[in-house]
Amino acid sequence: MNQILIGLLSLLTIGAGVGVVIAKNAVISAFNLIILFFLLAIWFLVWESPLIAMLQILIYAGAIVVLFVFVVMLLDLRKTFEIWTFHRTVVLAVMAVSVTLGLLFFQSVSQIIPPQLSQPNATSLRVVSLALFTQYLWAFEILSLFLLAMMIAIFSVARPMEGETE
Amino acid sequence: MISLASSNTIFWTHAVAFSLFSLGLIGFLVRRNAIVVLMCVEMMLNSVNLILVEMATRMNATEGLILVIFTITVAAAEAAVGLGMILNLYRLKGTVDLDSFHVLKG
Repeated sequence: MNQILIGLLSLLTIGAGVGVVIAKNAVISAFNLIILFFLLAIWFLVWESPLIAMLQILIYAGAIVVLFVFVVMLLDLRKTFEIWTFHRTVVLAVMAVSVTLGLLFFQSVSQIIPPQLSQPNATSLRVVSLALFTQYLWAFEILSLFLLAMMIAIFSVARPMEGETE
Repeated sequence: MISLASSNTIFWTHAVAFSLFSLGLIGFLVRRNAIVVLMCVEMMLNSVNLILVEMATRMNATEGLILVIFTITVAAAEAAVGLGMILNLYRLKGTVDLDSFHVLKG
């Protein structure tokens, strides 16, 4: 029964990913992306990480996709263009995909890391937050500095261009 | 919770992660809408997150989840900057078709 559920979840997730890539309209892509992020949150719950599942829903589905939808609404995309490009990049894409699928095959044939029974201590919320604010405190602070730099970068990018009135 | 040690679950997790990464890569290389290209980048980052969470749980390692939190933060920042750049490109050219931008082609 569990395995059927896992297989169903996998198929739904892959289907949502396909929907993001092949949708003609960017809004449809964004909605498929929301579905994909919720399904990935379920995956994180399956792997006993409720913290990451919550962060996934809050940050990805709540903030990032809304940002995408916002930009799609902001731009006037009535001027349509071909959704696919057909360059050498298509060959590159096919090569990259075959390499990743080959890696999957290799991985499924030879289990590199033997499966362990998890003791849910090291990935509990308490342990993760303790590690984040003690052992990795400096990395955390540098990350906040990075976010500040990104904010300044966005302000300077979004500034009105030369010759443009406010 | 679902039986974690079963290699079937592990196989499906890896299959989903690899498929999402491949799909994201295809979309990144082939799509022409700049916004959808950014969405595909997010998809690739998410597939890596899935593998990281799975490995962290299986190997009982806290570092994996810390890395996932950092990845999510960087992905959010990247999306914001990318969308700002797309807005600027739209102001310059009036389109988000990636094939119409070749300022840096030389």
